[in-house]
Amino acid sequence: MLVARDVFKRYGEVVALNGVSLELARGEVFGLLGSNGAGKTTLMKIFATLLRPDSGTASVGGRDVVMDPIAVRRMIGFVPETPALYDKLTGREFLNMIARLRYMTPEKTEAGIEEMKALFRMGAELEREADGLSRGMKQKLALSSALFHRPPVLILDEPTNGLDPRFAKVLKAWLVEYARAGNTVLLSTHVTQVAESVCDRIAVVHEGDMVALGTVGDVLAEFSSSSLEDAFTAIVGD
Amino acid sequence: MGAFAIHAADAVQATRFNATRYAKHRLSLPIATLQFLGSIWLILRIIEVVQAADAPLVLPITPGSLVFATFMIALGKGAIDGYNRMVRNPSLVFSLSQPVSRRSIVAAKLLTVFSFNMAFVTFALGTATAMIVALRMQIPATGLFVPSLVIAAPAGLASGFAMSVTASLSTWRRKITGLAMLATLPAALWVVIVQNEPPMGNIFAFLLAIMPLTIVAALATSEWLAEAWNIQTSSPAKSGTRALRSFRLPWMTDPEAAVFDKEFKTSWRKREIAISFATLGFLSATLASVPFLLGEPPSGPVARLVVPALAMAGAWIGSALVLTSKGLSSVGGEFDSIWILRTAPIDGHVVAVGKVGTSVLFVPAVVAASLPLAILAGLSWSAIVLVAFAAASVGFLMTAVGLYFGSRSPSFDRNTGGLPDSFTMYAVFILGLVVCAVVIGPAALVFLQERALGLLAAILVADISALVLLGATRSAGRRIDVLET
Repeated sequence: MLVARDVFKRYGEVVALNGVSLELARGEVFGLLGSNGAGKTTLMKIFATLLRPDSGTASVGGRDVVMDPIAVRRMIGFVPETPALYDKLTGREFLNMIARLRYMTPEKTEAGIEEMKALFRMGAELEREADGLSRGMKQKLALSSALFHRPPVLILDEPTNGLDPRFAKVLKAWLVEYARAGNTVLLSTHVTQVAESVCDRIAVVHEGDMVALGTVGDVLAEFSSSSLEDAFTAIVGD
Repeated sequence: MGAFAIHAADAVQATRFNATRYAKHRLSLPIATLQFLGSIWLILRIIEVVQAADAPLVLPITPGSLVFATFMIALGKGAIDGYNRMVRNPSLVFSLSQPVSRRSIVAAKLLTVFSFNMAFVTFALGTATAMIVALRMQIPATGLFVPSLVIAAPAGLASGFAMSVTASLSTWRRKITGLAMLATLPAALWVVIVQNEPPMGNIFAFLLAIMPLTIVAALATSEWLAEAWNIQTSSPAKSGTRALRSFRLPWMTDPEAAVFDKEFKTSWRKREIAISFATLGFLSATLASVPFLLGEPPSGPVARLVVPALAMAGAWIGSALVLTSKGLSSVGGEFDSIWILRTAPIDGHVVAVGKVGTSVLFVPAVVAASLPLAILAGLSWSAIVLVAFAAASVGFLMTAVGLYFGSRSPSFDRNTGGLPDSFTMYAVFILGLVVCAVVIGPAALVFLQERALGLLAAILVADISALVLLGATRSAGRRIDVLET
């Protein structure tokens, strides 16, 4: 569903991705792990059509992210690491805007918003301007904007950022169920417990290179570790 | 030390933002420089020609009124810069939470506003001086006129800077009290240097006396900085926001209407729409006062062009402040939220159309702002119609110029509200003026020969201007498509 082939990206002198290749299947939750600046966000932004690879190719659902970005965007829901929202729109207005950009019918829009309200227990906050909302509430809104139109591919950069443990748990369960319904989830995280509890497969990115790839069990075995935290430290160093 | 550290960080950040933008578009700096030099030369040449012709001035332009105009322009710029760089800047939290006095923070930000704007003023005056000497131009510059301009600029900047704080206080009573206290400065300046028409030496001495007062006033606002910053950077704890009805322009698709709706609601709630209408209203009232200042309508072949030229100048100033500025910040003003539109399944053209929609709403307001002068000055109905179509053309063209450059080289700097640096803005405004003159000038010339034909030409020019705006929208769309964020 998501394919990257020899993707190379540099910012000036800094190599962010050094020929990364990756393939995600339908129905899979895939986790990207890595230290700060490892290249996870760059790879996710390439899949989300926000950046173009310097060389190599990336595609979503068979559509190339450079040649056919609009088709790719129709298939994805994306949340960046620090999702800045429109300060002066209410949560409901924001979600309605996303729905109109995606030609959703009013019925489908309302159903999607109701589902998100129930999932994240949002009430009156949805009628308030975003700049008066808490960090966690903004994260819930950003997640809602990616989930409520039920795209076949979700690309979520640190999705549990700002969520309290209760809603982090709710989100993780929802993502697993969503993937089992035949959708694909690519997420990045610093929290190894999130990767262990949610991801079918993980990749560890370090200084632009993919240094480990497989199920959590594969990675633990490869690095002779009892926990993903230990394996991660063994891979990227202290 | 704290003040200098904050100022140094501002300077480094602004330099890097501009260096990045200029590096992306290598030709933009030389082109802007050429425009800048050309416009300075043009202004000097106009003064030289008017002086050589020894023509009586139609308008009551005195050295005092020019100095006052400089003060007021600087006041506006100081208010905008103070608001964006300090009062409405979320990053200020990192300064406010350090063991640095509020006064040091205000001093640092004032220093930043001074240094950036005075660099521009110094460069402009230095270039003008170099041109006068090198080209041996006959410019009558009385000894203290230029030094007075140089002092009027920081005095205006400091006054506007102080107003940005007092206008952001918690209640209307506090806002009005603060603004009223500061308004005594421009009022005193008007009475002393414009109404009394004193000799240049007295103007200079008066400015020299009030300049330190404006700086003291700006520094004194540090007492209210925390209150103003808290009010402007956080929403009041309210249970809900008053819903605004969504409406769409008839030709828009659903995604275009969604972007337009978001732009409109944001502008409404940030009071940008109210401020724009107030700006145009003030401009219209100022222009409308000209016939009363003139007394007798101007006569003679050159003098009868004065009123239409003033109406066009008003349309240009109003368009530059409201439309070009909005176009320049159309992409940069998205700041970190740009990911929302860039990951939606729409192309850049949809975004550009939605954004230009809110600007187009102001074109009739620009036309309306230029008409009272034409009507009150007793122009013929055909000349009034000409002014209306020409003002509409100015509105379309100035929107197009702003949108083109705003999408070509967007500034995502929250410190400037998504606007580029002063040098680029000036260059874009001047380029807009040249484009307007080139496009509208021929229609005006035809009108002078044959009125009916001239009116048809003006309608054609308005159509062409609207087409130019469509072209700029397409170009902006392509730029948004290849934007990497």
